[in-house]
Amino acid sequence: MQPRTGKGMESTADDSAQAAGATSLPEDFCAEIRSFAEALPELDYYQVLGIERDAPTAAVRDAFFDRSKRFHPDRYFNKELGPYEGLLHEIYKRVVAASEVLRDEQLRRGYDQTLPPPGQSKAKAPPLVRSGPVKDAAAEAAKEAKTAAKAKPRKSLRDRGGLRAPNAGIQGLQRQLESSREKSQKQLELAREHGAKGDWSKAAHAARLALAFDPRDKKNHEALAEYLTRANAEGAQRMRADGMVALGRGEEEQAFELLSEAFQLQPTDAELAFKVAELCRRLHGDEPERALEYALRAAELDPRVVAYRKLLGLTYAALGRNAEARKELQRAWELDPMDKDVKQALGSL
Amino acid sequence: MPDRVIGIDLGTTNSCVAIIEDGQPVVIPNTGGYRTTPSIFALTEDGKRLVGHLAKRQAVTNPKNTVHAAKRLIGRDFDSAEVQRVRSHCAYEIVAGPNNDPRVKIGDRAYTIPEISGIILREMRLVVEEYLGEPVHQAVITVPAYFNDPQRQTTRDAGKIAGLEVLRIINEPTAAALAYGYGRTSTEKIAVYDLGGGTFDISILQMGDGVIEVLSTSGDTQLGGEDFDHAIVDMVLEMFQEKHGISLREDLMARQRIRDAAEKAKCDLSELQTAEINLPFIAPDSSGQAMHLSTVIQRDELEELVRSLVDRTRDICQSALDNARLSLDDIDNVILVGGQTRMPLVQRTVAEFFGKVPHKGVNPDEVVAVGAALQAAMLAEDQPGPLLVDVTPLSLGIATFGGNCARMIERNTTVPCARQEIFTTTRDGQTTVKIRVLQGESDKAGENDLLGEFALTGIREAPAGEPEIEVTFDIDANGIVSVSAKDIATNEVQSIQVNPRGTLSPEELEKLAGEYGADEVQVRG
Repeated sequence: MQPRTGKGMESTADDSAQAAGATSLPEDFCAEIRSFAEALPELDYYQVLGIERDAPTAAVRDAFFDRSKRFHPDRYFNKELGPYEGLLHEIYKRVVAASEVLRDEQLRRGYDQTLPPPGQSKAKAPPLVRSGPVKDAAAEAAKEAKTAAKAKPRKSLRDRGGLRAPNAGIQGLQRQLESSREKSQKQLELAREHGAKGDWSKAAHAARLALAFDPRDKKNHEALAEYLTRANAEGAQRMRADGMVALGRGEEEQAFELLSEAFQLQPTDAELAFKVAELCRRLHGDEPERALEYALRAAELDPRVVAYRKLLGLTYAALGRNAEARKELQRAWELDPMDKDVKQALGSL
Repeated sequence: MPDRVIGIDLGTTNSCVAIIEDGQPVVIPNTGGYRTTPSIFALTEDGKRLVGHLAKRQAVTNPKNTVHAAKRLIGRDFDSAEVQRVRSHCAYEIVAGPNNDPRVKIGDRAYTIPEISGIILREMRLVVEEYLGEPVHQAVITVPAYFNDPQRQTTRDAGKIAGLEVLRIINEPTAAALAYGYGRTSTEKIAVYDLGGGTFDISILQMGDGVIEVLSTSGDTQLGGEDFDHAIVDMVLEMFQEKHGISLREDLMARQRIRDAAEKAKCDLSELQTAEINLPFIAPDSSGQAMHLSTVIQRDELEELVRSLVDRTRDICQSALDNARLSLDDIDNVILVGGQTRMPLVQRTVAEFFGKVPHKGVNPDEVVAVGAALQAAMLAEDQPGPLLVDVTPLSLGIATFGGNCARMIERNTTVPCARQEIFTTTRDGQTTVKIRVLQGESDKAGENDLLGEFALTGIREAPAGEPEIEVTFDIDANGIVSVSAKDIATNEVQSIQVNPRGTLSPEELEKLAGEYGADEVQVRG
């Protein structure tokens, strides 16, 4: 099989151009990609698509299409992208995410509530990002190469790719680091604000951003752990409550879904594990191995409760694992010698 | 001069190939002059390999060694319900391979499915090379939108065996929409109803200026024209049994003749009200006397026979509309794709359901290949055209405690995309989590397809529920799924690029590619 030959590699005159940037994209587009990618974490979805807050859905769709024509990786399938491949991928994923949320009424409303009111955003103005297709890179590159070869002396490596400023390098990196730390601290503050109000999921979201900007600060880890655990507990409580209501109404399938989800979020609740195991046995009696994990957890978490041991023993018995069944049921009988079911089950083994 | 790229519609019953010449799509006919080639491979008694029309013609006398509808087997497990169903209907022998993959036993060899599909793809490649007088090495190949990852990967393997670098696997309805939308700039919503030989797909798409976006897609990879044929064959066998007290089911030659006649009758009934099935000397009776099979089928009899199959497509259309959150009024146009849509019952049902007459301007047998050729030229040859923005048709998730599946990326999510969720441990002191990547719609892990798995180790010891494991799913423009898991506390990361098991090992694949993939044509001039 022959290698694909991208048109961009046909320019012969100024080969250092290709070697240095390892990309055949036009220079100004590269700069645009770089600044867009850098600004990405701070931009809200409206800024990502380049539209106003009150844009109607059709306009959101058109904006998505315009951005797609410029930033979808397929437009550059045939080109050498070098380091820009990853950046384009990141940018376009965000464009897709923005489109998904803003084109759905419900999701858009929910998202709008998380944003500061328009005009009060503390973020700097977003970088200039164009839409629509990029002019043919190959033609541009070839043209540039020809004129470069004829008139100007070869540009040095350092003058390409944004390393123009003399104090780029260490100082540039330092500035980047400081700005990340600032952003991180801002998010942490926001997280604490939400936490103080008891908005655990918003707090967890902000803490996650803080961590993303500065993964080395222990405070961010602690904040995320705290808020996430609380957000999960809150979610779990809600689901547990809904699950118990469903159970009370006899909606067993619904209850099973809710309670097993709740257990995922709070895997330390023995009673919950027990309830899920029981439901599992009732609904999926033909698949006792599904109930086994839950029954095991319940008994592990609280070894003194007879009901948990009993259920575990019965589940083992249903699976034909009689030795283990006997062990558990024996234990249950020791805890409560008066339990008739246990005696009966032991007898039948 | 860069290689030419081609677009191949690898169909269950028929395949078609096209290229772009001077900005115009051209369907390339084979040496017999046909614009489609039957997806059939046969090995004659004297060991000769036949593909296409030649293979189809000798099917009656050589049913055990003539393989059709390999697409119904590709990427599936031998013990799956689908493969077992095909086994019950087909005349060739399907056996289990070492990876629980189905293989076809012909002569003294067991052929893998990608090999058979590879042989057919190679035939399509040769058709173009013959026409152009130069070698062809790159292609875009289409698959049903509802194909899962193992099916897509195995199709890629088949392409490699045929000596093709598969630039992209694209969905059949999307390809059809591209062919339809090429050159148009109107902003409309269309439905593509694709009923082919073996599969049914329905996609709802938003056409725009320079972009074609899939809104939702649904389908059934076990519903197609072949099932219509089977219904007729079963009816004829039953009728014969009633009349003569003899079952022809085990007589492979008789069954093959009945199958061919059934397919012909089905096609005839799209034009006529009556069709005849006339097969003299079908089989000998108990005394050695020759029996003849002769019957007549009316169009409305056929419609009764297959009504439930067509109704199934209607339900799937409704679910696609629901998924896109649209109503019937939102659809501006309906495109029919696939030979089976020529049937009047199908056209009526579609028109009734969507409340409008389907668009007649596309050739249902060729539109998919044309779309594939356009996409190939747009990707590799800087051919201008609309950008395709597609979706992932099946949900992706990971296995969680209790045999459940936590969905990470919902079906019908636009790709490329990424999703992140935080999970935790279920036991105290747990230091390893196993990430099992699943594809499918069930909430039960066991009912979905396992695409790949890996383990994240080195999690700090902590009570159950405390550690934060951030799992990220990422699908890129090529449809490649990457999954990574990160322990937020330790920053320990593990990831995999999910290369779902094609059914061949890399060594087997290389060997087969060497055997079939070699250059055939010398460059002209």
